[in-house]
Amino acid sequence: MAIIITDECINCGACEPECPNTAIYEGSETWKYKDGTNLAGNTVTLPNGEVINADTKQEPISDEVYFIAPNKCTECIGFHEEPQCAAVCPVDCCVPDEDHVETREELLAKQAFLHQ
Amino acid sequence: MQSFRTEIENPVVEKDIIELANKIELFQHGKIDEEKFRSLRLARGVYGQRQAGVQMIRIKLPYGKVTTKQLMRIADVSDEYSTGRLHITTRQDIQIHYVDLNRTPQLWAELEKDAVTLREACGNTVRNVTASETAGIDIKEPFDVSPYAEAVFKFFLRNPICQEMGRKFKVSFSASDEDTGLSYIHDLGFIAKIKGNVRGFKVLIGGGLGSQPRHADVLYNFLPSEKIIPVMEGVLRIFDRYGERKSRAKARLKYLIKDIGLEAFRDLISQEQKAIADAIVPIDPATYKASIPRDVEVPKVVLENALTFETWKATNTVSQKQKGYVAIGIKVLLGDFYTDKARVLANLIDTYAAGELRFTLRQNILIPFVKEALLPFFYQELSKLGFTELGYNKAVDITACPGTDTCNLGIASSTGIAEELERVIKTEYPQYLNNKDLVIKISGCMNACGQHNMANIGFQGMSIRTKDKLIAPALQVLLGGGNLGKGTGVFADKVVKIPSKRGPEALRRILNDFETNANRLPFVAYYQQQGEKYFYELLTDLSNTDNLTQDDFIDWGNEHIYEKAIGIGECAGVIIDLVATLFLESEEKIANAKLELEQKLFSNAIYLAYSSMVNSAKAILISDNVKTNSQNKIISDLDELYITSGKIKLGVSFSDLVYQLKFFPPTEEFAAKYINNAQSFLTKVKAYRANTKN
Repeated sequence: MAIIITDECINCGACEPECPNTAIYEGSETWKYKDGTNLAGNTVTLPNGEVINADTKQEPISDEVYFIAPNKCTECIGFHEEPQCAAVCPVDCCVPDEDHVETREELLAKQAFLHQ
Repeated sequence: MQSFRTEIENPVVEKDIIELANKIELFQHGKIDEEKFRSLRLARGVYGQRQAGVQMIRIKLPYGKVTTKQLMRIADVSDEYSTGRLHITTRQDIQIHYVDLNRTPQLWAELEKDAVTLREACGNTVRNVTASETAGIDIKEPFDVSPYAEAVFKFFLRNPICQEMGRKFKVSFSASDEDTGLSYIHDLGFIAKIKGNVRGFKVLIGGGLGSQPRHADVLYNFLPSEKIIPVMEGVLRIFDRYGERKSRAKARLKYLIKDIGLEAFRDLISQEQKAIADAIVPIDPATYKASIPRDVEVPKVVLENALTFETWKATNTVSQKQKGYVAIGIKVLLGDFYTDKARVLANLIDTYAAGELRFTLRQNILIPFVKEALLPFFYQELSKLGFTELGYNKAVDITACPGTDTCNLGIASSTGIAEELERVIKTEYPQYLNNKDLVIKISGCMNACGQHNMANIGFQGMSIRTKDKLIAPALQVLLGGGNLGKGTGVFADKVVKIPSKRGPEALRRILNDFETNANRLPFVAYYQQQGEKYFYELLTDLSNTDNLTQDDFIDWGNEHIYEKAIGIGECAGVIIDLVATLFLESEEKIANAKLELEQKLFSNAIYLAYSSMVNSAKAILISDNVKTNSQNKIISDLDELYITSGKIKLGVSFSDLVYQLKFFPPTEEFAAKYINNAQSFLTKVKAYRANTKN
């Protein structure tokens, strides 16, 4: 599963620097696949089959609060014992996203892919 | 609105107070925007509070110094307008609570009778200038930093360059390389240095705590004292122009420096020097009035228990560089004390010490210039007040912000857990009463007013969710931070998050482990030796939320079930985006610029004209829904979108027009011309706006 930030977020920004994949962005910010990863080029096929451009600006997922780009979230697998955003969130609003369920193996593969 | 008449002699101060009274009235009649009013009152020390309808007042006390006369005045004001409680902050201010907004002008006028101000205590301004509490008496100091802190405070108070910055700006002075002023966590930190015979400072820039702590960079290893004001002016001008304004969480100087890099920032400061009126601003320490110790006879004292006196003397006094004198530290639990005792204390200090005291960074009181022979007498008198609690600046001396008691932003209790942890140390670990190498600090939220992320052992208020969606108060445990001196420090790691009620157990485990295994290493070194994972393993079972009891849902110091209630911060007044209001403000700025010009304050006049132009440009951009995150972006966007395309005709580019202030020295001639530029620019953009609207 990827982690999702709920609308209970108080925009404190504590999670952002913790993310090992640079998957967390401030509300209304554009983001890129290549930020904090080794992805490059205009046709990158993600492990889930999606084809993306690593260099182009992506639309923000939330305009109000911090958000996590699900394709870049590995739940910290491969880096830490537990998701770091959830560990530091002062209001416990970084929770598993039931719409993006992935197995540990999938997450490990994703982590390896992002930082290949 | 109560009638308000001030008897203040200083016309500038009088104008300030009357303006506050007028704006309160306008606000209450719905004639000014709430956000605008908020930013105005914040810049005058009037803050919101967790409780609706009442205000917290922050009294700005540069480097924490107060005379006994000023303390009496503050006590009187607290009794009259607040609750009689005085709260010492970690930035050496005093805060009083539950004040009626309508009475704030009178309150301020009362304080000014003894030269105590509220001006720029909150808001997007230069906040209180802090300093080592031992400044002037410190055995290790090359010289007393107080006169320099005083000069910086005075120079920037009411200065037009720092009235509406993107965010607040904090400055500190450290007496020596021990860096007790904590320069590495300040926007600008100065550490006293002598080179040859020249007094100066090591200068650190861009530090800060908060939810994303950043260690300051070294701007200069040595800067002569006459350059500190011009350099700081350059820094503030650059911060005002390039600083982020929309995203409050990213607006502090540390983010700007992180974004553009220290070298680029340094270049910008040097480019700015032409605009600054004086390349050097000498600060003459001889003009600073140091307090003079009273010449008194030593009263006869019979101590009941010599041992308790000796213990107190060992844990609560600080040696002075002046022979024959010591300073007494009063440990003030959570920084709270009351006016009845404040008055007795003031009398005591006035008669037997030097009529001066300092509020400290650890929320305590330091009494300098106590004759050594007077110590037994002071011990006896302070004991009567309950002011001889052991452990000044020691492990037992826990720092905490007000947390959910009164602060809007608080997530969980900080004072409640602080009291409990002090109790644990006193009863179970009495050996720490005299240990100054362990620093424990607590904040009620991530903003770190309790400085938890620079402590050896820190706790931060949070909330935690159980599997069945219940919410309990929680604490993040942070370990391994510390001040290493010379302007360096380490920030604590966020190790684990636990339900608040397990805070004491976490502390016990950490202390037991430290005692058993550290082999006398200091805490920071021991933590680094073991590593984060070791402590995570030590504490991780405490984070389990499957076995919470009813008691875990009641926070420390509370009787009722915890409810998460977090307001929005007030520190930064939100900018109102109404075009008409912005035009009005531009006019106001031009009018003020003309006033400054009449008074021959050219640099001030020029800066106000500059602000007016940026403000007018912003109005146009906002009316077309263009983002206005920083002043430099406003300037380049206006050129790109309106000037180059000929929509608005200036004859030159807007950046050439507005940036004249970088290239011309602040003369009368230039100031007059530049104000005219601002006026004609405003006329043009207003005409453009009127045409496009129709």
